[in-house]
Amino acid sequence: MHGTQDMLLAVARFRSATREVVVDVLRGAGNEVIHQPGAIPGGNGEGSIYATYLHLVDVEESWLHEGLLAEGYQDGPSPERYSDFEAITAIWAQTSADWISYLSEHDDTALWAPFTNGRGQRIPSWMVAWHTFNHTTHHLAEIWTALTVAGIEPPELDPLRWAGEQTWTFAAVEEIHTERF
Amino acid sequence: MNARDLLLDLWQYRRDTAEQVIATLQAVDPEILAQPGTIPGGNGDGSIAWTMGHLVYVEEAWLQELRLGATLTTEPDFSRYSPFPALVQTWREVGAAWNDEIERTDLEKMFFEEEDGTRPVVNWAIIAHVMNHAAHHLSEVWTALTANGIQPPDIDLIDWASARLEARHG
Repeated sequence: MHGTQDMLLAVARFRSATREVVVDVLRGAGNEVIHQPGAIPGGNGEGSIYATYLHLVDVEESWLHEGLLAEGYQDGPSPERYSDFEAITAIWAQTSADWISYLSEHDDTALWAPFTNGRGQRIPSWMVAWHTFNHTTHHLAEIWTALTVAGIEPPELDPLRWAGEQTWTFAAVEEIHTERF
Repeated sequence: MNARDLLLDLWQYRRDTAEQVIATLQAVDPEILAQPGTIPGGNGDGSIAWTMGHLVYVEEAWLQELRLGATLTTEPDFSRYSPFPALVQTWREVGAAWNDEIERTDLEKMFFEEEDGTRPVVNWAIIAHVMNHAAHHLSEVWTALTANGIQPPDIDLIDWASARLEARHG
C-alpha cells in the first residue's frame, strides 16, 4: 500500500517536472507578455503573469520554510530576493528541491502530525503540502489562460502523462491515530 | 491513518467545494454561463457551461474507467452534463460514488491507460489527477466569472479544514 509520504513525494516530483516546463514557457513568452498588467482578471498585484508567478513561488516557499519548518516569519516576499524573473525562477528551483527533501525526511507519522495553522487550529501537516500544490495548480491555470489570450499555446501539464513514465515503489503503512476530517 | 484517509479527506473537501461552486454558478445569469469564448482556449465553445460539463464528465469517466480497469469506449451522454440542473445532479452523484470507490478500491492496483499496456499508473494517482484536473478548470471558471464582474468565493483547502474544525470544536 502506498503511504502518505510516497503519495506526496510523487506529487512533489510531478510538480518539479512541471516547474521546468512552466519556466521554459514563460521564458519563451518574453518580458512584454509576462509583465502586461491586467492579463489575469482579479489576479495578484497589477494582474500580470509575472505578479502571479512571483506569488505562487512565494507561497510555495513560505508554506514550507515559514510554516512547516518554522524558520521564522517573513512579511511577504523580499524585493531584494524576488528581484526579477530569473531570481524568482532560482528560488522556485530551490524551493521545489526543498519540498522533495522535506517530504523525503518526513514519514507517514510525521506527515499526519498536527500543524497549527494561523487560527491556532491543528490540521494534519500533509494538508499544508497538498494545499500548496493545489494553490500552484490554481494559479498556473490563470497563467495558462493569460498566455492563451496572448496568442501562445502552452502545453498540457498532465500528472498521468508524467506518472505513466515513472517507476513506482511500494511501502508499508504504519497505523497512525489522528483526527479525520 | 494512511493514504486512503488522506484521499478521503481531500475528497470531502472536493465535495464541499462542489457545493460552493454550484451555489456560485446558480446565482450567475445563465447567459454568462453559456457565453462562448469566456474561457480563452477552453473546452468546447469556451463557455463556463462547457468547461463545467467537461469537468464533471472527466470525473465520471475516470470513475467508470477505474471500476472497469480499462479505457472507456463509449461516447459521453451529454444529457447528464447539460442543462445546469442535470449537471448539478450528476456532479453530486459522481461525488458520492467516488467517495464509495475511494473507501474500498485497491489504491495501489496498476491501471493501464492504453489498451496495449503502456502508460501504467496506480489507482491513487488517478484520484489525485481527477482532483488536480478539477482545480485547474475551476480556476478557469473563477477567472471567467471575475472577468464578468462577479467575485467568486475562495475555495481554499486550509480554510475548509479550519471551518470544519470550528464547526466541530467551536
